Amino acid sequence: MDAVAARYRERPGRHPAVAAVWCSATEAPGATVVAADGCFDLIVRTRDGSDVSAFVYTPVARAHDAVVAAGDRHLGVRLRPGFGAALVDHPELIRIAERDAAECPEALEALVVSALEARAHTPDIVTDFLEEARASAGAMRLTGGLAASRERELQRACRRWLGLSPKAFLRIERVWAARAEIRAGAALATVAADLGYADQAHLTREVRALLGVTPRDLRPVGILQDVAAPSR
Amino acid sequence: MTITKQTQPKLGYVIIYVPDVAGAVSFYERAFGVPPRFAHESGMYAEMETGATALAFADELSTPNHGAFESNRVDKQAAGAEVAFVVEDVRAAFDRAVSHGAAVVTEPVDKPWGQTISYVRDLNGFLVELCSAVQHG
Repeated sequence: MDAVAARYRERPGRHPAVAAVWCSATEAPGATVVAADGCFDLIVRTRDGSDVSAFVYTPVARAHDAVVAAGDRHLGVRLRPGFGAALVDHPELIRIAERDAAECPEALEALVVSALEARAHTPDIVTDFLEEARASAGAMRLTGGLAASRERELQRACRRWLGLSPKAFLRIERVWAARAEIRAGAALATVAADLGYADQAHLTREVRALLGVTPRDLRPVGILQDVAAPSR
Repeated sequence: MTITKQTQPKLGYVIIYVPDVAGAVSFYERAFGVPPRFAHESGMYAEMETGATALAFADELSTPNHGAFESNRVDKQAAGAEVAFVVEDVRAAFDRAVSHGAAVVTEPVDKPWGQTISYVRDLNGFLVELCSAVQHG
Protein backbone atom coordinates (compact mmCIF):
# COMPACT_ATOMS: atom_id res chain seq x y z
CA MET A 1 0.00 0.00 0.00
CA ASP A 2 1.30 3.39 -0.86
CA ALA A 3 2.28 4.94 2.46
CA VAL A 4 2.18 8.44 1.02
CA ALA A 5 -1.52 8.63 0.32
CA ALA A 6 -2.51 7.00 3.59
CA ARG A 7 -0.74 6.52 6.88
CA TYR A 8 -1.23 2.90 7.76
CA ARG A 9 0.22 1.12 10.75
CA GLU A 10 -0.50 -2.11 12.50
CA ARG A 11 0.79 -3.91 15.53
CA PRO A 12 0.29 -7.54 16.51
CA GLY A 13 -2.68 -8.34 18.76
CA ARG A 14 -2.13 -8.98 22.44
CA HIS A 15 -4.65 -11.78 22.61
CA PRO A 16 -4.58 -15.09 20.70
CA ALA A 17 -7.80 -14.21 18.89
CA VAL A 18 -6.53 -10.84 17.72
CA ALA A 19 -4.33 -10.88 14.64
CA ALA A 20 -3.57 -7.17 14.62
CA VAL A 21 -4.68 -3.74 15.68
CA TRP A 22 -4.39 -1.26 12.85
CA CYS A 23 -5.06 2.32 12.01
CA SER A 24 -5.26 4.20 8.77
CA ALA A 25 -5.45 7.91 8.11
CA THR A 26 -6.44 8.82 4.58
CA GLU A 27 -4.90 12.01 3.34
CA ALA A 28 -5.26 12.12 -0.41
CA PRO A 29 -8.42 11.13 -2.24
CA GLY A 30 -8.06 7.95 -4.23
CA ALA A 31 -9.28 4.43 -4.54
CA THR A 32 -8.69 2.04 -1.67
CA VAL A 33 -8.68 -1.64 -2.39
CA VAL A 34 -9.46 -4.09 0.37
CA ALA A 35 -8.09 -7.61 0.02
CA ALA A 36 -9.91 -10.78 1.01
CA ASP A 37 -8.15 -11.97 4.16
CA GLY A 38 -10.75 -14.20 5.78
CA CYS A 39 -10.92 -11.99 8.87
CA PHE A 40 -13.59 -10.18 10.82
CA ASP A 41 -12.69 -6.69 12.03
CA LEU A 42 -14.25 -4.29 14.47
CA ILE A 43 -13.66 -0.90 12.91
CA VAL A 44 -14.26 2.60 14.13
CA ARG A 45 -14.24 5.32 11.52
CA THR A 46 -13.89 8.99 12.33
CA ARG A 47 -14.91 11.29 9.51
CA ASP A 48 -14.37 15.05 9.52
CA GLY A 49 -12.90 14.89 13.00
CA SER A 50 -16.10 14.18 14.91
CA ASP A 51 -18.45 11.92 12.96
CA VAL A 52 -17.73 8.54 14.58
CA SER A 53 -19.20 5.29 13.37
CA ALA A 54 -18.28 1.73 14.31
CA PHE A 55 -19.09 -1.43 12.42
CA VAL A 56 -18.17 -5.07 12.17
CA TYR A 57 -16.46 -5.90 8.91
CA THR A 58 -17.32 -9.41 7.79
CA PRO A 59 -15.04 -11.59 5.64
CA VAL A 60 -15.33 -11.30 1.90
CA ALA A 61 -14.39 -13.83 -0.74
CA ARG A 62 -12.94 -11.30 -3.20
CA ALA A 63 -11.08 -8.01 -3.11
CA HIS A 64 -13.24 -4.93 -3.42
CA ASP A 65 -13.03 -1.16 -3.53
CA ALA A 66 -13.70 0.81 -0.40
CA VAL A 67 -15.20 4.26 -0.30
CA VAL A 68 -12.82 6.33 1.76
CA ALA A 69 -12.80 10.10 1.96
CA ALA A 70 -9.77 12.29 2.52
CA GLY A 71 -9.54 12.97 6.24
CA ASP A 72 -11.10 9.64 7.24
CA ARG A 73 -9.40 7.85 10.11
CA HIS A 74 -9.97 4.18 10.70
CA LEU A 75 -9.06 2.18 13.77
CA GLY A 76 -9.48 -1.57 13.48
CA VAL A 77 -9.04 -4.77 15.41
CA ARG A 78 -8.49 -7.63 12.97
CA LEU A 79 -9.42 -11.01 14.35
CA ARG A 80 -7.83 -14.29 13.41
CA PRO A 81 -9.99 -16.55 11.24
CA GLY A 82 -12.39 -18.42 13.47
CA PHE A 83 -13.03 -15.47 15.71
CA GLY A 84 -15.20 -12.47 15.27
CA ALA A 85 -18.45 -14.05 14.21
CA ALA A 86 -19.54 -13.38 17.77
CA LEU A 87 -19.24 -9.64 17.17
CA VAL A 88 -22.00 -9.54 14.60
CA ASP A 89 -25.43 -8.48 15.86
CA HIS A 90 -24.01 -6.86 18.94
CA PRO A 91 -25.36 -3.30 18.99
CA GLU A 92 -24.04 -2.64 22.48
CA LEU A 93 -20.52 -3.32 21.20
CA ILE A 94 -21.00 -0.76 18.43
CA ARG A 95 -22.31 1.83 20.82
CA ILE A 96 -19.43 1.39 23.28
CA ALA A 97 -16.85 1.36 20.50
CA GLU A 98 -18.16 4.67 19.17
CA ARG A 99 -18.32 6.20 22.62
CA ASP A 100 -15.02 5.03 24.10
CA ALA A 101 -12.67 3.63 21.52
CA ALA A 102 -12.57 5.93 18.50
CA GLU A 103 -9.07 7.15 19.33
CA CYS A 104 -7.78 4.38 21.52
CA PRO A 105 -6.47 1.13 20.04
CA GLU A 106 -6.02 -0.46 23.46
CA ALA A 107 -9.60 0.26 24.43
CA LEU A 108 -10.89 -1.14 21.16
CA GLU A 109 -8.85 -4.31 21.54
CA ALA A 110 -9.98 -4.76 25.14
CA LEU A 111 -13.58 -4.26 24.09
CA VAL A 112 -13.30 -6.92 21.40
CA VAL A 113 -11.61 -9.41 23.71
CA SER A 114 -14.24 -9.02 26.40
CA ALA A 115 -17.01 -9.43 23.84
CA LEU A 116 -15.41 -12.62 22.54
CA GLU A 117 -14.90 -14.08 25.99
CA ALA A 118 -18.53 -13.52 26.84
CA ARG A 119 -19.67 -15.68 23.97
CA ALA A 120 -19.37 -19.28 22.79
CA HIS A 121 -15.99 -20.54 21.70
CA THR A 122 -15.11 -21.69 18.21
CA PRO A 123 -15.92 -25.40 17.85
CA ASP A 124 -13.25 -28.01 17.11
CA ILE A 125 -14.56 -28.80 13.66
CA VAL A 126 -13.69 -25.24 12.65
CA THR A 127 -10.37 -24.93 14.48
CA ASP A 128 -9.24 -28.28 13.03
CA PHE A 129 -10.22 -27.08 9.58
CA LEU A 130 -8.33 -23.80 10.05
CA GLU A 131 -5.21 -25.56 11.20
CA GLU A 132 -5.18 -27.89 8.25
CA ALA A 133 -6.09 -25.12 5.84
CA ARG A 134 -3.09 -23.06 6.89
CA ALA A 135 -0.68 -26.00 7.14
CA SER A 136 -1.60 -27.14 3.65
CA ALA A 137 -1.63 -23.60 2.22
CA GLY A 138 -5.19 -24.09 1.07
CA ALA A 139 -4.49 -27.37 -0.70
CA MET A 140 -6.33 -29.71 1.67
CA ARG A 141 -9.09 -31.84 0.21
CA LEU A 142 -12.62 -31.08 1.24
CA THR A 143 -14.30 -34.08 -0.24
CA GLY A 144 -13.49 -37.75 -0.29
CA GLY A 145 -12.08 -38.01 3.21
CA LEU A 146 -15.29 -36.93 4.93
CA ALA A 147 -18.67 -38.54 5.18
CA ALA A 148 -21.39 -36.48 3.48
CA SER A 149 -22.95 -35.49 6.80
CA ARG A 150 -19.60 -34.36 8.14
CA GLU A 151 -19.07 -32.35 4.96
CA ARG A 152 -22.41 -30.62 5.47
CA GLU A 153 -21.52 -29.99 9.10
CA LEU A 154 -18.25 -28.38 8.04
CA GLN A 155 -20.03 -26.22 5.47
CA ARG A 156 -22.50 -24.99 8.05
CA ALA A 157 -19.86 -24.45 10.72
CA CYS A 158 -17.59 -22.49 8.36
CA ARG A 159 -20.42 -20.27 7.21
CA ARG A 160 -21.33 -19.55 10.80
CA TRP A 161 -17.86 -19.12 12.30
CA LEU A 162 -15.74 -17.99 9.37
CA GLY A 163 -18.36 -16.10 7.43
CA LEU A 164 -17.23 -18.01 4.34
CA SER A 165 -17.64 -21.44 2.75
CA PRO A 166 -14.72 -23.85 3.30
CA LYS A 167 -13.83 -23.59 -0.36
CA ALA A 168 -13.76 -19.77 -0.32
CA PHE A 169 -11.61 -19.86 2.77
CA LEU A 170 -9.14 -22.30 1.22
CA ARG A 171 -8.78 -20.06 -1.82
CA ILE A 172 -7.84 -17.24 0.52
CA GLU A 173 -5.29 -19.34 2.41
CA ARG A 174 -3.72 -20.37 -0.83
CA VAL A 175 -3.42 -16.86 -2.25
CA TRP A 176 -1.90 -15.55 0.99
CA ALA A 177 0.69 -18.31 0.82
CA ALA A 178 1.32 -17.18 -2.76
CA ARG A 179 1.60 -13.61 -1.58
CA ALA A 180 4.31 -14.55 0.91
CA GLU A 181 6.30 -16.45 -1.72
CA ILE A 182 6.02 -13.67 -4.29
CA ARG A 183 7.12 -11.08 -1.74
CA ALA A 184 10.08 -13.31 -0.94
CA GLY A 185 11.08 -13.06 -4.60
CA ALA A 186 10.04 -16.47 -5.96
CA ALA A 187 9.30 -16.73 -9.66
CA LEU A 188 5.59 -16.78 -10.47
CA ALA A 189 5.78 -20.08 -12.33
CA THR A 190 7.43 -21.68 -9.29
CA VAL A 191 4.83 -20.25 -6.92
CA ALA A 192 2.02 -21.50 -9.13
CA ALA A 193 3.46 -25.00 -9.25
CA ASP A 194 4.28 -25.06 -5.52
CA LEU A 195 0.80 -24.16 -4.42
CA GLY A 196 -1.24 -26.12 -6.93
CA TYR A 197 -2.47 -23.38 -9.27
CA ALA A 198 -3.17 -24.64 -12.79
CA ASP A 199 -0.53 -22.29 -14.18
CA GLN A 200 0.91 -18.81 -13.80
CA ALA A 201 -2.12 -17.21 -15.45
CA HIS A 202 -4.36 -18.88 -12.90
CA LEU A 203 -2.17 -17.58 -10.07
CA THR A 204 -2.28 -14.07 -11.51
CA ARG A 205 -6.07 -14.16 -11.80
CA GLU A 206 -6.42 -15.30 -8.19
CA VAL A 207 -4.03 -12.63 -6.91
CA ARG A 208 -5.97 -9.95 -8.76
CA ALA A 209 -9.37 -11.26 -7.75
CA LEU A 210 -8.64 -11.89 -4.06
CA LEU A 211 -5.91 -9.41 -3.24
CA GLY A 212 -6.80 -6.65 -5.68
CA VAL A 213 -3.24 -6.22 -6.87
CA THR A 214 -1.09 -7.70 -9.58
CA PRO A 215 1.72 -10.12 -8.69
CA ARG A 216 4.08 -7.38 -9.78
CA ASP A 217 2.72 -5.08 -7.08
CA LEU A 218 3.82 -7.67 -4.53
CA ARG A 219 7.40 -7.78 -5.67
CA PRO A 220 9.91 -6.72 -2.99
CA VAL A 221 10.76 -3.59 -4.95
CA GLY A 222 7.60 -2.27 -6.51
CA ILE A 223 6.13 1.07 -7.37
CA LEU A 224 3.20 0.42 -5.09
CA GLN A 225 4.62 -1.10 -1.93
CA ASP A 226 2.26 -3.48 -0.28
CA VAL A 227 1.93 -3.17 3.47
CA ALA A 228 4.53 -5.35 5.15
CA ALA A 229 3.00 -8.77 5.88
CA PRO A 230 -0.28 -7.89 7.58
CA SER A 231 -1.00 -10.34 10.31
CA ARG A 232 -3.97 -12.65 9.89
CA MET B 1 -9.94 -6.61 6.66
CA THR B 2 -6.69 -5.80 4.90
CA ILE B 3 -6.11 -2.66 2.93
CA THR B 4 -4.05 -3.82 0.04
CA LYS B 5 -3.58 -0.83 -2.17
CA GLN B 6 -4.27 2.82 -2.15
CA THR B 7 -3.77 4.57 -5.44
CA GLN B 8 -2.76 8.15 -5.97
CA PRO B 9 -4.02 10.37 -8.74
CA LYS B 10 -2.03 9.44 -11.84
CA LEU B 11 0.15 11.99 -13.61
CA GLY B 12 -1.56 11.89 -16.99
CA TYR B 13 0.30 14.47 -19.08
CA VAL B 14 2.91 17.12 -19.06
CA ILE B 15 1.86 19.79 -21.54
CA ILE B 16 4.16 22.44 -22.98
CA TYR B 17 2.41 25.47 -24.44
CA VAL B 18 3.86 26.26 -27.87
CA PRO B 19 3.16 28.66 -30.75
CA ASP B 20 3.13 25.81 -33.30
CA VAL B 21 2.06 22.33 -32.24
CA ALA B 22 2.95 20.53 -35.47
CA GLY B 23 6.36 22.20 -35.46
CA ALA B 24 7.02 21.05 -31.90
CA VAL B 25 6.00 17.48 -32.67
CA SER B 26 8.24 17.39 -35.70
CA PHE B 27 11.17 18.89 -33.77
CA TYR B 28 10.92 16.37 -30.94
CA GLU B 29 10.70 13.53 -33.41
CA ARG B 30 13.83 14.61 -35.31
CA ALA B 31 15.93 16.05 -32.50
CA PHE B 32 15.17 13.55 -29.74
CA GLY B 33 13.81 10.53 -31.60
CA VAL B 34 10.51 10.56 -29.71
CA PRO B 35 7.67 9.18 -31.84
CA PRO B 36 4.36 11.03 -32.01
CA ARG B 37 1.31 9.32 -30.53
CA PHE B 38 -1.67 11.40 -31.43
CA ALA B 39 -2.50 14.77 -32.97
CA HIS B 40 -5.88 16.42 -32.65
CA GLU B 41 -7.34 17.28 -36.05
CA SER B 42 -7.61 20.93 -35.01
CA GLY B 43 -3.83 21.11 -34.74
CA MET B 44 -4.25 22.59 -31.27
CA TYR B 45 -3.01 19.59 -29.28
CA ALA B 46 -0.73 16.61 -29.79
CA GLU B 47 0.87 13.90 -27.66
CA MET B 48 4.17 12.10 -28.01
CA GLU B 49 4.69 8.40 -27.35
CA THR B 50 6.40 8.55 -23.98
CA GLY B 51 4.83 5.78 -21.95
CA ALA B 52 2.41 6.13 -19.07
CA THR B 53 2.76 9.90 -18.78
CA ALA B 54 2.42 11.64 -22.13
CA LEU B 55 4.53 14.59 -23.16
CA ALA B 56 2.09 16.84 -24.99
CA PHE B 57 2.00 20.16 -26.79
CA ALA B 58 -0.87 22.60 -26.79
CA ASP B 59 -1.30 25.71 -28.86
CA GLU B 60 -0.61 28.61 -26.53
CA LEU B 61 -3.36 30.82 -27.92
CA SER B 62 -6.10 28.28 -27.51
CA THR B 63 -5.40 26.94 -24.03
CA PRO B 64 -8.05 27.78 -21.42
CA ASN B 65 -5.49 29.65 -19.35
CA HIS B 66 -4.17 31.78 -22.22
CA GLY B 67 -2.69 35.02 -20.95
CA ALA B 68 -1.94 33.62 -17.52
CA PHE B 69 1.52 32.28 -18.35
CA GLU B 70 4.83 33.26 -19.86
CA SER B 71 5.19 31.95 -23.39
CA ASN B 72 8.14 29.71 -24.26
CA ARG B 73 10.60 31.45 -26.60
CA VAL B 74 14.25 30.90 -27.52
CA ASP B 75 15.07 34.56 -26.96
CA LYS B 76 13.72 34.62 -23.43
CA GLN B 77 14.82 32.98 -20.18
CA ALA B 78 13.76 29.34 -20.07
CA ALA B 79 10.78 28.40 -17.95
CA GLY B 80 11.66 26.97 -14.53
CA ALA B 81 11.00 23.35 -15.46
CA GLU B 82 12.50 20.67 -17.66
CA VAL B 83 11.60 17.56 -19.55
CA ALA B 84 14.19 14.82 -19.07
CA PHE B 85 14.75 11.94 -21.48
CA VAL B 86 16.67 8.96 -20.17
CA VAL B 87 18.86 7.59 -22.96
CA GLU B 88 21.53 4.92 -23.39
CA ASP B 89 24.12 7.15 -25.03
CA VAL B 90 23.96 10.70 -23.78
CA ARG B 91 26.66 12.05 -26.10
CA ALA B 92 24.94 10.63 -29.18
CA ALA B 93 21.55 11.92 -28.10
CA PHE B 94 22.99 15.34 -27.33
CA ASP B 95 24.80 15.62 -30.66
CA ARG B 96 21.69 14.55 -32.51
CA ALA B 97 19.58 17.16 -30.74
CA VAL B 98 22.09 19.95 -31.41
CA SER B 99 22.41 18.95 -35.06
CA HIS B 100 18.66 19.44 -35.42
CA GLY B 101 18.69 22.89 -33.91
CA ALA B 102 18.51 22.41 -30.14
CA ALA B 103 20.49 25.10 -28.32
CA VAL B 104 23.41 23.94 -26.14
CA VAL B 105 23.07 24.65 -22.42
CA THR B 106 25.31 22.02 -20.77
CA GLU B 107 27.57 19.60 -22.62
CA PRO B 108 27.39 15.97 -21.41
CA VAL B 109 29.10 15.62 -18.02
CA ASP B 110 29.37 12.77 -15.52
CA LYS B 111 27.91 13.40 -12.10
CA PRO B 112 29.07 11.91 -8.77
CA TRP B 113 25.82 10.04 -8.28
CA GLY B 114 26.47 7.85 -11.29
CA GLN B 115 24.60 9.73 -13.98
CA THR B 116 25.65 11.48 -17.17
CA ILE B 117 23.62 14.60 -17.81
CA SER B 118 23.32 17.27 -20.47
CA TYR B 119 20.96 20.14 -21.23
CA VAL B 120 19.63 21.72 -24.38
CA ARG B 121 16.74 24.03 -25.17
CA ASP B 122 14.13 23.02 -27.70
CA LEU B 123 12.83 25.07 -30.62
CA ASN B 124 10.74 27.15 -28.21
CA GLY B 125 13.47 27.55 -25.64
CA PHE B 126 12.11 24.92 -23.23
CA LEU B 127 14.77 23.08 -21.20
CA VAL B 128 15.30 19.46 -22.16
CA GLU B 129 17.66 17.22 -20.24
CA LEU B 130 19.26 14.24 -21.91
CA CYS B 131 20.63 11.89 -19.27
CA SER B 132 21.55 8.33 -18.51
CA ALA B 133 19.67 6.20 -16.00
CA VAL B 134 20.88 6.70 -12.44
CA GLN B 135 23.22 3.84 -11.58
CA HIS B 136 22.46 2.41 -8.16
CA GLY B 137 25.44 0.95 -6.33
